[in-house]
Amino acid sequence: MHKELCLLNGTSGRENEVRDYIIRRLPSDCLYSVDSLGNVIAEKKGSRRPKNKIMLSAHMDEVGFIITYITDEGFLKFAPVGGIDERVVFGRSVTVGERKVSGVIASKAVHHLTAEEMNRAPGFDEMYIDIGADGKKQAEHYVSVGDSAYFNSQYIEYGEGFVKAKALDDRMGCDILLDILSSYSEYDYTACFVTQEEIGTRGATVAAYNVEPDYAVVIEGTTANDISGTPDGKKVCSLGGGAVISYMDAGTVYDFELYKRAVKTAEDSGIKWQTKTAVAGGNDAAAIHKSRSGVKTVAVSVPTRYIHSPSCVAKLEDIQSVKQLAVKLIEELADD
Amino acid sequence: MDILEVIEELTACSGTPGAENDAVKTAEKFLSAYGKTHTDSLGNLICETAGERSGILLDAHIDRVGLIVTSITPEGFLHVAKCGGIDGRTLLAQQVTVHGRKKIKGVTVSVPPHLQRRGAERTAPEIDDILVDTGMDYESASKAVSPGDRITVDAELLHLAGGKIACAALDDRCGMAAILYALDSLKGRGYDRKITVAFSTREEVGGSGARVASYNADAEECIAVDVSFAKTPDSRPEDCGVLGGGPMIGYAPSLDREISEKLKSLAGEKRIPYQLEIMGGRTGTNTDGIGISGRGYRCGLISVPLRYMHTGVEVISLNDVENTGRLLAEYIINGGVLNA
Repeated sequence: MHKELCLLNGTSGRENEVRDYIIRRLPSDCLYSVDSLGNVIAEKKGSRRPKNKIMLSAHMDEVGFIITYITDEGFLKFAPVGGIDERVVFGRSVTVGERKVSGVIASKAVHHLTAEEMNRAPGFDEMYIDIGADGKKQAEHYVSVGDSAYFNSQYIEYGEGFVKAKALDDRMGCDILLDILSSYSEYDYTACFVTQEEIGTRGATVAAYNVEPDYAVVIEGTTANDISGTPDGKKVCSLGGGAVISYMDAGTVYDFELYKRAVKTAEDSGIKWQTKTAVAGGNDAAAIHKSRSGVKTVAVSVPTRYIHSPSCVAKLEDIQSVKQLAVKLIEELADD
Repeated sequence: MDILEVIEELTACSGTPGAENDAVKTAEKFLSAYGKTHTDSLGNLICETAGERSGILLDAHIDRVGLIVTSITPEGFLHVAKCGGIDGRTLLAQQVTVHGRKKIKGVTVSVPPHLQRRGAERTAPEIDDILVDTGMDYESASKAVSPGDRITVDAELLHLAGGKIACAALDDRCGMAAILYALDSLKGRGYDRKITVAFSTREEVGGSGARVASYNADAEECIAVDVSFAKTPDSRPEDCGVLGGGPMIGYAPSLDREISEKLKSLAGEKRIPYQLEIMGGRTGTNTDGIGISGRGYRCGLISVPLRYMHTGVEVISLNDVENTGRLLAEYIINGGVLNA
C-alpha cells in the first residue's frame, strides 16, 4: 500500500492524485472533508468519546520540481519545490506535466567540463529537462510553464527488510494513518492528510486551525544519517532503531513533558524507539503547536536515509513501530 | 530488424569493462544470425560472415561504464571505484544493481540537505565518498558481494518526444545496434566478401579489447561505430553534432581521409542525413588502437550523436542509429576503400 502511495505524484499544492487515492481508501465509517488548502480531514468515530480531541497528521506532498521556462531549443528550465540537494538531481529521469511525458535532467557532459566545473555539482541554474522536443513549439505541445516534474523512481524492497522509493517522506505517514483508520476504533480521533509541508508547513497551519485539537501527533519521515563512516554522534537516528521521538528540531521545541510521556508510552508498550541526536529538519509540528491558543504536539517519525532524494530508504520494521506508537499515544492522550 | 528492440535488450545487460559476459551472451543471439561467432582471449565477441576474400572489420564496443566494489565496511556498505569514466556527479542517492554472487539491489548514499554544511551541495562527490547501501549487515553483505564485483546504475529505457530515447549504456550499445542493422540490410544484396564484426571489450578502460580483436581479424580496413557528443544548450557548436542530424562522419589525422571522403560522398548520393565530426589528432575511440594494431588498419569512424554521455540518462535519436546502419551498409556494398 505504501508502494502505491509512493508511486503517486504530488508536489506541494499539487497533491490531488494523492488526495484522491487517500479519499478512496478511507474506511466507510469515516466522515471526511476537504478544506480550502486541500487538506483531507477524516473524523474517525470510535466506541468511546475521549476527553481530549486528538489530531493525527501526515503530509501528502513530496519534493519535486516546477517548470519555469521553455527555451527556444525546447529544453525546460525548472526550480525545486521543497528542499532538494542539487547533487541528487543531475542525471535523473523525471515525469513532466499533465501529459506525464518522460524527460531527463541534464547538464553539460562530463567530457566537456572545465577543471573548475569538474569539482562541483551543476546548480539548478545550470540544469534543464530534456524531453526530446525539437524546439519550443514542440515542447509546448507536451508541457506548459507551471507544470510539475517528478523523479522517476521504482519502489523496491531490498537487503534485509529495507525499502527504497521516492516520496517515502511522508507517504509512509499517510499510509500509517490510513492503516490506523481502518484498524483502530477505540476512541474518536481526527486524521489529517495535509498539503504544502515541504514549502513551509502551510497545509497543517490551516488543518490545525480547523480541527482545533487538544493534542496533535505528527507522523513523519525524518532524516537518518546512519551511513558508514559517520561518527555515532552525527548519525541523527538509525534505521532499525525504531520510532523516532523528537525533543527539538529546526522547527519546533517540543513540550518536554509530552516528549517524556511519549517515550514512557513506547517503553511501557515495548515499542522500539529512539530520539534524534541532532537539532535539524522540521515538520508540521512547527505549525500545529502554535495553532489558535496552542496545541500540545508530539512528532513520531520513521527514520529515513537520503530523504528528499529520488531514493529515500526506510526499514519496514520502523514503520510498524511508528504505527504502534501512534495508536498507543491516542490511548495515552485521550483521557488524561 | 527492430532497432529499438535490439537496443532495449542490449541496454538491459550489465557488461562493465572486463565483465562483459552477459552482454556478450545477448549480443551473440543477434549476431549469430549473420555468421559464425566466437569469443577471443579478451572476451571480444567476434563474428565472421561467409565469404572467401577478406573484406572489412566493423567494430563497436560492448562494455559500458559502471562501478567496481573495492571493499565492504563493517556496517555492510560497499566502497567502490569507477570502472570506466562514469559521471561521478550522478552518483548520489541512485538505485543500483550489484552484480554479486547473485544480483542484488542497492542505493548509493547521500547526506540529506538538512544536515549539510553550507556550500556542500555544490561540491561534486569524490568517488571515495560514494558508498553503496546494501541494506545488509557485514555478514550478509560479505556473503553476497566480493571485492571486484561490478555495479551498474539502474535505468529504465524512456521514450522521449520525436523518436528519441534515454537510457544508460546507449554508449555503445546503440553502435552495436547500428552494425546489426547494417548486416541485416546487406542480406540479399550480393556482397560476397567476408565481414568481421568485433563487439569489443574494455573500450571504457583504454580499448585493449579492440586492439586484440583487430590483430586477430582478417581485414585491412575498419569502420568503428561509437557515440559522440550531440549539442546541448551549454556546449559549443564546434564541439558537437546535432541530435537527429544523422551519423557523424569522423575526420581526423589518425583516420583514413579517403574513407571519410567516401562515407561523405555515399551519404550525399544515397540521401542519408549526415554531419561531419572533425578531430585534431586521435579520436578517443577504438580506432586509435585498431589503426596501429598488427600490420595496421585504414580506419574510418562513424558516431551516433548522443547527449549526456556516461550518465544513466544518455539520449539518442533512433533515426540516427538507423541512418548509421544504412550508411555502413552502403559503404560495404560499395567496396569500402580497398575493394572498390
